[in-house]
Amino acid sequence: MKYLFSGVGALIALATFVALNVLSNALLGNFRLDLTEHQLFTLSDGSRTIAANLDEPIHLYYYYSKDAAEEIPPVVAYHERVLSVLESYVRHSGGMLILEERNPESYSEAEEQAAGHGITGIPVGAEALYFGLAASNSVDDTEVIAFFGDLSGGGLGFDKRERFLEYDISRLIYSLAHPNKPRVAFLSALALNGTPGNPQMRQPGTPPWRIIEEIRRFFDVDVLPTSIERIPEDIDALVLVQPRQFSEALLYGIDQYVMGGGKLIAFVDPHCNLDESANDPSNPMGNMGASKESELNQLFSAWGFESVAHTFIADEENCLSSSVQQGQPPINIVPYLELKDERLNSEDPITSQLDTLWMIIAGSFKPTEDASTSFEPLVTTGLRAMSMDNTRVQVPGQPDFLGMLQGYVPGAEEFVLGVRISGETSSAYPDGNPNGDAGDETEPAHLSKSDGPINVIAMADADMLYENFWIRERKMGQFSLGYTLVSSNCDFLTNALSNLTGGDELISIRARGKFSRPFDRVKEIRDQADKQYLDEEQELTRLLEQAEREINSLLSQQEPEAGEAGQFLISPEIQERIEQFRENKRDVGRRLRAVKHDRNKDIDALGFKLKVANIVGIPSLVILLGILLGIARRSGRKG
Amino acid sequence: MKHTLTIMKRELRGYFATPVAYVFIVIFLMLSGFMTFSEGFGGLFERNQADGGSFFSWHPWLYLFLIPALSMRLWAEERRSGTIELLMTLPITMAQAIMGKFLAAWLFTGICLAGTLPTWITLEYLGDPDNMAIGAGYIGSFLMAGGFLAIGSAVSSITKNQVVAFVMGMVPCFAFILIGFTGVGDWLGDFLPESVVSTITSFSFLDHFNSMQKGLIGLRDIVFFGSLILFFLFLNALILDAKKAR
Repeated sequence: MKYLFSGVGALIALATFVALNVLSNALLGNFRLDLTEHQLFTLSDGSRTIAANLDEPIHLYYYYSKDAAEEIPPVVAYHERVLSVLESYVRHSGGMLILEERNPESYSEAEEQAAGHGITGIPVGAEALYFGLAASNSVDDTEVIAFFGDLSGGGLGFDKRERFLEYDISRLIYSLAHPNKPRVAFLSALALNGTPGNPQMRQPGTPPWRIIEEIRRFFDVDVLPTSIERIPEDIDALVLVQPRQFSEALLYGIDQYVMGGGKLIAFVDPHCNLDESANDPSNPMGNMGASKESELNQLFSAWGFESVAHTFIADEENCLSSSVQQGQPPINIVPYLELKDERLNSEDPITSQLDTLWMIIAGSFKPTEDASTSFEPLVTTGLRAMSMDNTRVQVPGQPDFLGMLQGYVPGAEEFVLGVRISGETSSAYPDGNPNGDAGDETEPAHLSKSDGPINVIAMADADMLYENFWIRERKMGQFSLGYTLVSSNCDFLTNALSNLTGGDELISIRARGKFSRPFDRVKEIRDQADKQYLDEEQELTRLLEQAEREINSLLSQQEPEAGEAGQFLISPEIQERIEQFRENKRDVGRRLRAVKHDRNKDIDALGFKLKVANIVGIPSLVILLGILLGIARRSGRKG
Repeated sequence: MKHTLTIMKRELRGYFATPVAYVFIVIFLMLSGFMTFSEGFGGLFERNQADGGSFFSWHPWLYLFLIPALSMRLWAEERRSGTIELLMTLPITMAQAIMGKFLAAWLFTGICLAGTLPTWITLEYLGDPDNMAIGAGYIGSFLMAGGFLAIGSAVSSITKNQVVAFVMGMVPCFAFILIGFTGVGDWLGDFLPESVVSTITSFSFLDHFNSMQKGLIGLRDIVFFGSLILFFLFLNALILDAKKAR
């Protein structure tokens, strides 16, 4: 013991203490319990797999202006989360991910590098706030997240994107690890590549669909002929658009493709306006009543869901409006659906960031009983939608939209317009190839059960991909003034393809929990005051308009009096009324300002009360307790 | 073990025998409340976030000043008044005495921390805080307090003067906080290799406490605080033994 208690002992103890901690830092770094509500600091399995599977180094350049951010606590908090996710990635990457933090101060090298990566700073007071990520792989491909928020709403927009922070970073890393553009094949009864036309029959050609061009920016696109019988093996995703009159062989090929783990997006439609494929040019009259419906229930029902046949969905609360007759005011076109906010699944990375989807005469999907797959709605109608029979739109010329509106009977259920199907399931051809075995040795073996989980996305409208329904060109005579997006339909397809071709790991990453937790009670006070403000504002505006109308009518009634030099004199009564009107207007302004002021006062009062309670109140209670106990003890001693 | 607990209970009762304990708790709570809520510091209400950030970030500073005040009387007074000799004649080992006094002081700190529960309740009233994360923060704070206490206890055994023990106790505590500042890390990086600097910063209280108050309880954090407490209590015993010999 004597030896232990000496200077030497102390030194040994110190050495042990230091060594123990150095070791524990090195070895135990990954052993931690993430007690946060949504495991915010732990990567999901998909991300971990993506990181672990990297076989070539990827450089991550994290641009963050520490000084500019310190003024804004939400930025600092979100930065800590972003950095934590990036560091987790690095830890799981076995050295393949190299993280470099850069602080782009004015005139620094980092500022130039940021500009080189296309990342700009947001002006915050006198400084610029940089908060983004650039990454590059060994072949110098670069992917960038210019800003970790969303500035479109006016604020910093962290709460809009934070749930998909991990997904965004995973997708960025994945696409750098797989620099070749994914291959996407399209199969359709529609002429997606356009038609050359037939000069003899005086038929003009049609241009290729714009959306194919857009998709080509990110993917290698192949529009396959519907005569094929097997889906090529090297494609990463297959898109079916209006799959009408596909041959049995092709359907079998699609089934086997999905069974083999192929990713599929299917756009079926109860009535596809653009489908001219049934048209027989020699029998124009006969085409009038021809069905333009496509459905794949033969395959879908084996996979756990089906589209409801021969019906389309109308939703009065979520539709577009337009004028159906020239000169008439616009009416609600109930089967032309406009879907936004709660109608789009906010948990799924495909739909969570979309603004508005337009679906033009769409059907709906239902899960089958005993489905082994999961049925996850991506797009739904409101609760008061109703279904209508196909025949109402299978008419020559324009369907009777007015009649649909007038005869609208609100339903009581939501209809599913778009769905994600995943899970293991069986083939639609349990007995093998319906055309029999060709005896061809190069044909792959028949799969009667899926090899792992399938991933299918189905949408109940095909017209939505046509350019009229997602992009408009602004023209001035002959000149094009550029394009505006009118819906997010194209983004939907891009997101869906990105998600499906990102590998199973990316597909498995969903929305994570929210990091930001604003005070609900303060929000309540604000919302209530805002509502009050709006109500008052409406009321007062109404009164003002009324007063203005009165004055105008009085002025118009009065006869002009000739005054000196032909001046127009106003009678004293009217003058008084105008004065009164001005006084009212000032009053209004005062009252509205008072409402705003009160709201702030209420919030401040709450803050003050809480501060006093915590700083003074609780300690006072302790003092009281102490005094009471002291008295009790003293009286105990006396007694 | 039983002796240790007896000593602990005796010490704790001694704390509450005088108003000093209440005064200490009140000061602790007032300072904690002030630093959490006032706009210049934590600004909990103004930040509009239902998390423990405004509250926990001040704990290292709170402990820096208050815990040496608590630990200064652990040994300095005993040595000055000579009661330490009396203590040593009792059928207990030095280790049990040290541990008992330490646990009493630690538990007392725990009581002070418990007194801050109204702050948690305030957060719950205002919004929807992540309760598990806040719980983790409390655990981290309690462990860190133990670290401060162990240092203070060792320092108080060096001197017979409580005030000296108080001031001297603050120095190593401050050092352990300081090495966690990025500014200090950068400055050290000017003349030390990067690996040495990151090793040094990994010994800071801030490094371990920050991740715990976010909701992450790491094994390395527990190892750190545990080994720190044991090391300084060992030093404590060493010093007392050396002084006893004189």
